[in-house]
Amino acid sequence: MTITDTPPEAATAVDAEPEALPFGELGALVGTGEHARIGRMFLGFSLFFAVASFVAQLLLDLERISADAVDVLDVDILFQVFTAQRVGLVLGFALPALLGLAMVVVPLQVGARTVAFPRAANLAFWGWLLGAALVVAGYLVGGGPGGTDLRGTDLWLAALVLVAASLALGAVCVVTTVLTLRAPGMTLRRTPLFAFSMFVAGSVWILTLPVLAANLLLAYLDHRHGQVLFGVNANLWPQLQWAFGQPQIYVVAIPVLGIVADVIPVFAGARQRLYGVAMSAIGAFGVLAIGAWAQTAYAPDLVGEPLFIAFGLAAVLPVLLVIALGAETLRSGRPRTDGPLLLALVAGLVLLLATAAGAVHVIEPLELVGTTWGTGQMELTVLAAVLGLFAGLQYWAPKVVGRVLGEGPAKGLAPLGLVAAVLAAVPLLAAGALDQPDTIPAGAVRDGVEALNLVAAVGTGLVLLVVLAFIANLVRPAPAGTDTPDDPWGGHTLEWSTTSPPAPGNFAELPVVTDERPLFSETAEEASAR
Amino acid sequence: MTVTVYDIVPGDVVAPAPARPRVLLVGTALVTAAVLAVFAGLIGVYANQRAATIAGGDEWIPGGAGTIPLTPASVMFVTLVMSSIVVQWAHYAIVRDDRRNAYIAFGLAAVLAAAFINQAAFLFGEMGWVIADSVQAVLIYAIAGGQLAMFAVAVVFLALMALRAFGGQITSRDHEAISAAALFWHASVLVYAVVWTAVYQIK
Repeated sequence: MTITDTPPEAATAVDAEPEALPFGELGALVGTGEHARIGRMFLGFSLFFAVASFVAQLLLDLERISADAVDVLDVDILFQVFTAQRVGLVLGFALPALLGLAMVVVPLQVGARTVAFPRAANLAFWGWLLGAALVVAGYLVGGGPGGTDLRGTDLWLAALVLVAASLALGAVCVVTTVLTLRAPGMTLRRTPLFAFSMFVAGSVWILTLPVLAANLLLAYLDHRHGQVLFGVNANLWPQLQWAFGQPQIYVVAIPVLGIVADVIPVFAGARQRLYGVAMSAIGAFGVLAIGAWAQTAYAPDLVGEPLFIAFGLAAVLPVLLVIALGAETLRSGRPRTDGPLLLALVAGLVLLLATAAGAVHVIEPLELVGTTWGTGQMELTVLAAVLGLFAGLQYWAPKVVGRVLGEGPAKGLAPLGLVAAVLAAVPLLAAGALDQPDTIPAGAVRDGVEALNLVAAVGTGLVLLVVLAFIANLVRPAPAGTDTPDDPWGGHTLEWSTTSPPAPGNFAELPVVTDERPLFSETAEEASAR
Repeated sequence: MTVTVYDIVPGDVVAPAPARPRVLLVGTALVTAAVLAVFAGLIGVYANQRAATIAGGDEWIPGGAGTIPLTPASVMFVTLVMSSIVVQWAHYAIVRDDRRNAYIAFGLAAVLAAAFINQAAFLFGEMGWVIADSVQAVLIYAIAGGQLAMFAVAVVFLALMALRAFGGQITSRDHEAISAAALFWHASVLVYAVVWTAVYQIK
């Protein structure tokens, strides 16, 4: 047995809920150190931002149908809605939601009693929530890029610094958990793939979110004192746009690979093929998602540089590799077509489509940069994160919310999610190929692509429906008297060895790991085939 | 046949420190990496703007706008290098339970930290930039002010750990906290070294 040098016995066990706090339940909520509760809080509020962001996207899509016929938004606030939708999707929804899922699941997967620095994790949540609320407030008072209120824009910039810093702090907690609190015997090589993907994603977030914070800090100083560096409000967005475009946008999709790679073997009833290769692919995708160097506001010629093109082209390979390994794992087992598997497969396919679109995006002679091809590619990536998150929630629901989610809705939402993602994004890709510029206001709509924009709006409407339906399935109370099994799926990793939901401290006895799939019982044939 | 068994562990050897996760040290290293990324972003923008200005045929430091005096900045650099050595001395002393040397080293670190902050206040006053008037001022104050803020955090971190060490909570058997504080301190010195080179030296 291999013993790591970081046994979790000495971890700070603070999972026990505080007893009889002066402010009762509110005090327990604000001061909690329980990782599952912090994760649930992240998930709950980020889903709220998901709905708000997709509503904003729907309004923008409607606006884009025709420059004259449809006028749902006042032209003065169009650019604010445009930026709010992107900020909301990435910093309001995707990153915090994945962080929330990781807060719940990663400590369980690695056999830890808690997340590292639970108080800091709590601080990360409240910092993110306060920052996100202030970002919204900044928009509401007329601030933000394109806004007219200078103080509102100052507020928006300062609040975004808080959001970025809080998310980076949360990532520090998750990455430290993976690095230091693994169970005895769990080497990094044996770490479950979702936990490993969060280690990779968290590391990339830690390296890139501070760069965004630095940009915001400069913008804040400049905007508050003379506006000599960046100029008026509208010029702020190009300085920040790199965080919402290729290649940086892939940071929201790194954990999707981990979810796909963790879910498929369980429902295939087989061991993950070439485990080390899958880990390497996730790591490579993480490296290719580092986009802080690709700030086109400072280096407009970057889009023609070989490195930028190579990053864009290469990103498709790790995704393809993970999906191919998943397909091989499915082929070698006896797959059960349960909801988590269907959602994971759909998430993987959408991510593959996103990276393929990204690879085409960087081919310079096609001149797609600056068109809605980029918008469609971003939407596909975020939708892969949405569907991957739903797959993860469907799979780990017994640990997250303490019950098994309805299978019927999940099986229906998976194909609907695929259709919605394709309808929402592919028409924008096609319109981009027809030179529709990625600009707002929609007066820039190119003639002849109205029908494509209409289909995109319908697709976004479907996406919104899928999101709302999944949330309804998530919050629907379980029938009275329903017991939640500890391991409803026959899971392979440590989180399924404890109760659903996990008791404080997670594990009655510390698990010892000798294998990357400690709970997997293979048949004699499978064992001999290894 | 007589078998002689030798006791190879002397009786006065203290039991080894218990294996424990280096949670604080790893977490501090990650936070340090994040802070370094902030400065990488800031200095990247600075270098980009400077190169663009020079490529446009202008001087990066236009006449009458302000100055970037090298001498006080260099004295600050020497002060910080000395402080880094002193902090490592404190760490060395704590690891060996040498409390007398630890007290001296922590005291010297406090003096050097105060000297650095005082020098920084003097330097900022000397430079004479008006932040609302020039791109250079925005960038210089963001970078230099950010480094000063990082150093202030390092001072608070080390002071808290020093108090814990004085209270007997940090000893040779468990000195991870002081290692973490020292790591962050050294990182703040490293950042100043880069700032000194990029801003004060190259101008």
